[in-house]
Amino acid sequence: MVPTGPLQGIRVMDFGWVVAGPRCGKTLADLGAEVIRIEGRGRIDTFRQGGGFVDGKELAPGGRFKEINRNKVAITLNMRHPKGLEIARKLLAISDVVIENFTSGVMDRWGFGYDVMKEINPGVVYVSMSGYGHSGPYEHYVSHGPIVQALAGFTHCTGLPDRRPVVMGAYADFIGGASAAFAVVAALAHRQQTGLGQYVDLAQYQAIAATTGTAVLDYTVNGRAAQRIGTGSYHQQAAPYGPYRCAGEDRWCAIAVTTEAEWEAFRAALGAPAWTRDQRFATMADRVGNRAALDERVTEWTRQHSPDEVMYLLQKAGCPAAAVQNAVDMARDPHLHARGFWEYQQDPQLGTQRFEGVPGRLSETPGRVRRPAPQVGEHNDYVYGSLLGMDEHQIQQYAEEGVF
Amino acid sequence: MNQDDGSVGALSHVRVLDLSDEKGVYAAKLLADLGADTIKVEPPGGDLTRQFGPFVDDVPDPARSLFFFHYNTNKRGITLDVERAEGRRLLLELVRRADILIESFPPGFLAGLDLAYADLARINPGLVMASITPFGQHGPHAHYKGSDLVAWAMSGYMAIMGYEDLSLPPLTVPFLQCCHTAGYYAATTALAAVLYRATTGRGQHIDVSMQEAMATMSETPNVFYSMDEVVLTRQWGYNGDPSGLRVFRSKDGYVDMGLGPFRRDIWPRWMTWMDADGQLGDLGDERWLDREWGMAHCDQMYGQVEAWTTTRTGYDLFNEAQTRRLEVAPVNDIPAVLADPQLNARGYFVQVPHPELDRTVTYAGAPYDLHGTPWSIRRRAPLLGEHNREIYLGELGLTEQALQEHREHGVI
Repeated sequence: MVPTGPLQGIRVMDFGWVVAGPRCGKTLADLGAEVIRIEGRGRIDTFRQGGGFVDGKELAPGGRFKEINRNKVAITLNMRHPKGLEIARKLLAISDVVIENFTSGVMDRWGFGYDVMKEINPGVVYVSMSGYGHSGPYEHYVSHGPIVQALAGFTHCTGLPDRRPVVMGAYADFIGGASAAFAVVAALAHRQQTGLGQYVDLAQYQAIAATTGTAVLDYTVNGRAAQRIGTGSYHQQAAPYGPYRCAGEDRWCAIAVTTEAEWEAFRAALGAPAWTRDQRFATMADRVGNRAALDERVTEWTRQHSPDEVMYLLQKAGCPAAAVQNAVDMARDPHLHARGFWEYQQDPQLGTQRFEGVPGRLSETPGRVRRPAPQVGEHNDYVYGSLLGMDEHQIQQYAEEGVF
Repeated sequence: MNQDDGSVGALSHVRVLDLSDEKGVYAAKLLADLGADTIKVEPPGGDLTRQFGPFVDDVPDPARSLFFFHYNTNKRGITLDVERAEGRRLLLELVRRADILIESFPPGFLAGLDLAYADLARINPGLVMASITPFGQHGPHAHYKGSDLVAWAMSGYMAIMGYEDLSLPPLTVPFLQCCHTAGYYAATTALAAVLYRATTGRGQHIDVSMQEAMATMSETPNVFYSMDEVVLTRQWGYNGDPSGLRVFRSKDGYVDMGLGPFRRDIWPRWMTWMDADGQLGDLGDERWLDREWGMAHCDQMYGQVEAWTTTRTGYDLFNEAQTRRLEVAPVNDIPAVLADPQLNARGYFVQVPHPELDRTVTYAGAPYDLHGTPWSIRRRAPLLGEHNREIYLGELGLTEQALQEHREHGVI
C-alpha cells in the first residue's frame, strides 16, 4: 500500500484554532500524519464561519478553513465536561503529538496540562504555541499574528522608507505554524532515539522575531537599526533590482541583477542598446549610485512588454527575472501545473475545489491532498468507535449528554 | 537559552552536510540549532554568502559577514572543491557518514559531477537529500535563474504587498523569507524522511521549490480566488476589509490595530476606551456599526482614531489594550525589539563569543523552547576551513601529508 506520507502512523490531537495552530497541523497532515481536529460544540473554529469581506464583497463561509484543514479528521469534544476530559485522556494514550494555540492557561484549566499528559503518555510531544510563550510579563496577553509581527520588528521593515509600514497579512501565524511543525518532527526524532516525548513552549512572538535575519546582528554589532526595505535587498547593494512596471494595468516584473555577469545578460536581452554602455551604469557601484536614472531606462523597456515577456526574455539570456504574479497568474502558471502543484478535491459545499499542494516533494513518500476539510464532528464515529472502541449506543448517549 | 549548558539537543544523533548557499543555509541552521552535527562545506575560496553584508564594522571581508555569522551558527566548517575528482571522493566519504544533505545548486549541477541523489544513495542508501531551488528540480522554469526576490514575485504574495495607491510598486519582503519558508519545509520534510527511514532503511530525495513554499504562506490570495474568484490587489495586508488590521500613527511611531468597525463584539470596546480618553468624537454613533455606511466614510473614521492614537505611546496602547481585550501593538524597530520586556524576560537574546574579533555578540534566539532538549547556540559560525583538520584527519583518517597535498592542489 502506498504510504500517506513520511509521517504515516503518527497521530496528532489538534486543538488548533483559526490559523497558527491549524497551520502546524496542516503540515503534519499533508505529510501523512493522522491529525484529529478537536472542537467543542460551543467552540467551533471562527474560520469555519463568516468568510469575511473583500472590497465590500462577502466571501463564502469557511474558504480559509478548508485550505488550512484539508487532510484532517474532525471530532467534537466538550473539554469542560468530566467525561470529555476522560475521553481526551484515552485518545492521548494512543496519540503521539498534541498541538494547541490557546492563550496561556487554557489547557491547565481543563485539567489537560503537560504534567497530566506525560503521566498518561510519556512519549507524547506537546507543542503549546501561545502568542508570547508560557512565562514573562506578556504570558497572559492575547495575540494575533499581525500583532506579534509588529512587536518583533518585522512590520517596521516592511514598506517604503518614506511611507507607513505595511502589515504582511498573517505571516506570523504561518511562520508560527511552520516552526511548530518543525519542532514536532525534531521532538519525534529525539523520541525515536530515546523513547521520551517533551513539552515545547513555542512563543509565536519569538518564531517571527527569529525571521528578521541579520537585523539583530546589524544593530548589536554595528548599531544600525534596519529600516523599511521598500523594493530593495537588505544584504546586497544591487541594481537593477526590484519590481519594474510593465505593459498593462498594475502589471510588474521583478528583476534581480546581483552580479556583473547578470548585468551582461540583461544588456544582451535588450539587444545591448547604447544607454546600457553609459558610464553611469558601468559597474554595480555605478548602477547603485545612479539607481533613479537606471530605473527610468529599464522601465522604458519593461513598459513595452508584458511581465511574462520581460521574464522570458531576461531568463533566456540568463538574467534573474520573475513576473509579479497575482492569484489568476498563479492559477494559470504553466510551471506550477507541470509540477502538479495544484490539487483538486470535492468539497461537500463548494464542489470541486483547488488546493495548494505540498511543498517539499519526497521522492518515495510524497505528501498529497487526500481529502477536503472535515465537517464539524464528521469523524466522531471513526475516532470514538473505531479508535476508542465505544459502541454506537454509548456514542449516542455521550452525544446526548453533551460530551461530544 | 544560552551557551552550551551541557544539555543534549534533540538532533544530536543526526549528521547534516550543508552544501548550500543562501537558499539552504536556514534549513541547515534550523537543524544545527537543535543539536544536529552540521558540517558546512565551502569551496576553498569560501562560500559566496561570505560576500553578503552587513559586515562587522561595515568592513567588507569574508571573515566579517554578519550574514554568514547569523545563518551558520552551530555548524562546523570545512573547505572542499566538489568539482574535482579528489574532492568528489572526499565528499562521498562524508556522505557515507551523513543522514541529511542539503544543497541548493542549479538542478542538474550535481548530476553533472556524478553526484546525483542516486549516486549518493549507492554509497549511503539511508541518505536523505533536500534540494532547495527557486522553482524546484523539474518543470518549465526549473532552470530559471532565481533568488529570494524571484521566488517572492512568482509566489502570488508580492502582488498583494503594498499600498492602496497603485502608482506605487509592490514590495519586497524583508529578510529572505522565501529562503526561510523553504528552509522550514526542507528541514521538516528531511526529518520526517529520517523518521520514516526507520521502517525501510532507505532515505529519499526531497525537491523543495521556494516559489511553492512561499505560495502556501498566506491564507488569502489563492483561497479567495479558488473559492470566490476574488483577485486581491495590494491591500496593506488587511485584504480590502477595514475591519482587519491597520497601521496608525502613535505618539512615538506607529501602532498596528485590529479596529474592527462594523463588529458589534469589538467596536464598542474601542469606543468605551476612546470615550474614557475624551477622544470619542462622533464615533459612538450607531451608524458606525453599519458596514455600508462605514465603508463610505472610513477615511473620516481613521482620521478620528489617529487623532486619538497620536496622544499615546505604542507600548502604552499595547498594555492598556490587553486589559480591554483589544488588539494593538507598537510597530517596533530593532532597538525596541532588543529592549522588549517579554523577549528579555524569556532570555531570547543570546551572547555568543567571537574570540578572534575579541568581542561577544548578541544574537537573535530560539523560535521555540524544547524543554527536554533545549535550542542553543553552542558555537559561532565557522571560520573558513576551521574544522578541516578535525574532520579530514580525525574522522576521515587522512594523513597530514594527504591533507597538505589536497591543500596545495586546491581540493580543500
